[in-house]
Amino acid sequence: MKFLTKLAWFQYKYSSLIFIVTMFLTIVVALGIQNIHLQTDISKELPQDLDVIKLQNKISDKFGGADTVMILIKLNKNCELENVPKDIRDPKIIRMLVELENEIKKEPSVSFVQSAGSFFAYPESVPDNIELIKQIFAKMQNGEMFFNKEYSATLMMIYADLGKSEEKINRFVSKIKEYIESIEKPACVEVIITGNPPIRVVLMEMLKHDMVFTMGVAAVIILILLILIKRSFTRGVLVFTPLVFGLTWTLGLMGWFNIPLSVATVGIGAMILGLGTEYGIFLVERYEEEREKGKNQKDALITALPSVGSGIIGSGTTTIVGFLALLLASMPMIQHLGETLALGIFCILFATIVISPALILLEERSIEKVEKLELKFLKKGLKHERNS
Amino acid sequence: MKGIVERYARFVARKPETLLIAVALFTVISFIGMSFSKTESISYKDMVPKNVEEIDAIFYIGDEFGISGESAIVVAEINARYPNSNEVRDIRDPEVIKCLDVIEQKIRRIEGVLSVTGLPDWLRELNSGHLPKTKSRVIELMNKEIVINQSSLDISETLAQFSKGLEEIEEGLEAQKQIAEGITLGLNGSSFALKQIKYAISSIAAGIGNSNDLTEATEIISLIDSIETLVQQSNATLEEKTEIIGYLEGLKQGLDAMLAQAEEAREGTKQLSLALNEITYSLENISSGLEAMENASLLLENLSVNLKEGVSGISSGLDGIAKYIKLNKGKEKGEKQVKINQFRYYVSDDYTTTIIRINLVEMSEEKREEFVEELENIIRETEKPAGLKLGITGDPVISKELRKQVLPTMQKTSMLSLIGIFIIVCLLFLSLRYGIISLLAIGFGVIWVYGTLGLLGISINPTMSGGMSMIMGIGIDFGIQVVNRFRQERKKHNIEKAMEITLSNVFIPMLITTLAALIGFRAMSLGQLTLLADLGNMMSLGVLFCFIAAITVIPSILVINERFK
Repeated sequence: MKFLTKLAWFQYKYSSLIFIVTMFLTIVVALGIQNIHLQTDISKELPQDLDVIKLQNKISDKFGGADTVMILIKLNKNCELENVPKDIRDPKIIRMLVELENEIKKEPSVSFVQSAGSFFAYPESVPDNIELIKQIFAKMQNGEMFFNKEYSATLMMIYADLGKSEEKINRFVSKIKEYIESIEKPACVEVIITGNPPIRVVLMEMLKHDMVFTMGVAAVIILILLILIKRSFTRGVLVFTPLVFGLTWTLGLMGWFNIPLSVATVGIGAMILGLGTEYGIFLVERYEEEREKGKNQKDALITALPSVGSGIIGSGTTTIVGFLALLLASMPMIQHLGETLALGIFCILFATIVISPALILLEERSIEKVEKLELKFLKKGLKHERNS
Repeated sequence: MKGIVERYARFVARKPETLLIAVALFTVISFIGMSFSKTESISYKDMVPKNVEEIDAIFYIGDEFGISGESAIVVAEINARYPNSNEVRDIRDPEVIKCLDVIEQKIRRIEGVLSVTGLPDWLRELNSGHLPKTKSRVIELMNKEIVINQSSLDISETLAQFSKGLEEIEEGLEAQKQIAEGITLGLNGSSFALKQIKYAISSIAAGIGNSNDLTEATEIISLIDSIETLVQQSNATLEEKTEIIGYLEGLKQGLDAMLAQAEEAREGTKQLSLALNEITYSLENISSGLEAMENASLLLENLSVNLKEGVSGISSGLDGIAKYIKLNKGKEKGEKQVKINQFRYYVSDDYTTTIIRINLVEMSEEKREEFVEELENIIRETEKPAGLKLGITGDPVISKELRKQVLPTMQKTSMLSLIGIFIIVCLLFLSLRYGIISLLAIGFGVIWVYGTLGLLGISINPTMSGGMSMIMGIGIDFGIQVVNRFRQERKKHNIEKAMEITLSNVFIPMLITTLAALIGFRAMSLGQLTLLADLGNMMSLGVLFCFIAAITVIPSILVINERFK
């Protein structure tokens, strides 16, 4: 591995330069993190080339579904208040539906709204007597389809054309939520928004939260583990640093390469941290082993990097191959997972081979400098004591 | 720790066969476990997080309204290929509807089917239980529904307003009762007033009879005027008032004449007195007649009041109807559209596609697959009109297809992974033999994982289908590290020493690596989106087994290999 020997020599000579260039590159790549887009359409994670899925997508397009928002209005069974609606056909609830429907229809992207309130033009047109309302729906063709069997829930279907933009979906759902907030609701009546677009909005929030949370948990535990094993804070951080660089590059490149953050890739931060630790461990362990034998920095690195580097490159490459094999999987989610993990492992491998040795050297040198300074001060102190 | 590892390394170097026997035993158990391994599918429910209001609501709606619960869909599409052929070109063709009806009836007989709804059902409902025989009738029925909805809506609303009118009539009756009481009081007042008039006229008659004084006659005239006013103010009818006032006017004229012809009137006085007596008599008659008439008039008045109230009630009802009609007119102008057309959910706007929705009861995966198979048979065997294409989809159908993909995906990805890894390790070690030895960690690791999953009864789902390939990619590192280090040490030391140094140096890093990987996989399952939690668990197991295989199988084989070199 002549290349690794040359690399070790270069790292020994230009460790500071390597560190500065790395920092600069990291900042540039990290800018891509803000470009990461969220993929919240779970149906897209299923194999799109299967006939049954193609047919399902076709049905969704023709009969609505993808952009259908549903508002569920149901009676709270646990409510103990008096004089509250006991039947979902209560005039107050139907009036609320009419009012809500009329408001929602004002939204430009809404193409069609349907609910039990569709039969009344204005809230005032709703009879005061619940018996009359019951008669109206009983006489109507399919009038009962708006209610469940117990008459404790009703539905409002909102058909909209939202397109593919996550931002548009987000805005639309917020607007519908605002309408729901603004109307007067009878006591003990719950109004819940659901359907594909609101679920996608929930998933957006969850993706962001889970990504940070799982990565944070993994990072903290692994860092503690490394500090405990190395019995040194700085050494623990030293093994951990290439992971931070590798992870930052992975996320940045996901943004630059347009790889979405989805239910499949949300856990990659944690996985990459878990899988990437070994490279740093092997390298630092081997370097320390050589140093313990009494070798100087240069010799220790020139011995350690080629000997352990080939193993690390071999294992990293095989891991990448194992992950890239997932591109043959039928589920797109597994394909995305495979390509993102392969990218992550490549970044960490690169960070370990190229940056880690430079960091190890810089850390040792800074310690040596501090020790020298301490010694200098100690000598000065002793001299001063003797003189006095 | 280092001491234990060194002792273990010496044991491996001396008795690799013993270790291999133990490994073989576990491998045999794993092979047995592998025979129990199953595959399963995942559904939309498995893919979304739990305990989220929006998602719970969608499942609630599925259960309560049968919209998105466990359901399959049969899709019928127009697929005419040749122009001018007799293929069907519109989904509303009666031939298509007949075919769909046959399919629906067959589906209803499958076990686990809760309900089947499609275009034929709605048409039959609107066509007195029969399927329409012509396309024009189908079109008519599909448009009719909106009209029916609107007319039934008019009647209901009118009824509502009419009922409101009736309520007002009731209120009118109550008011009428109160008015009747008032009238009785008024009647008593009138009767009393008439008595006063009668008394006054008797007094006049007496006065006339007793005196011929002209001043008295003048006073009498003014008295008559007062009586006239009294009569005007009484409750008597206009006719009666006119009659009485007529008499009084006559009286007044008589008195005037009497005054003018005082002398001549003397003779007439007697006649006047007689006339007055007659007036008194007739007044008495009038009084009793008046009472009777007033009673009747009061009854009439009561009735009219009642009617008036009733009419006003009905009129307010009519107002309501008018208001409703006005609002409906507004709808026609586009202010508010009432579109209740069930066909929208079953027929596409371009009339090229229609669907049959099948709701199912909760059932096991095996039962669901049986259902899908039966559904496939029905679709295949039912005679279809030319130009019509049938397909099936929905959750159970997709699940079945996904499950079918699990094993081929696993084989495909694992095979590619294995080949790629093998090539790399052979290139890395520049040796076929060491390449194969390093593969042993993942070979045994994967067998153990598979066997353990089978023994624990854990089914492999589509998200886990890529797991084997990933385990291989991760697990090979252990094999590489051990083989690489052993080869380096073997150049300088004997087998035992080389193995001692190798294991004592790679054990700790490998253990940390395993721990870190396990932390990563566990952390992945800590979020709310746990779609890949099963994959994480499988990989945790895989990494652990590859680590164990790397410190048992590989050192043993390396030692044996060195002995036979």
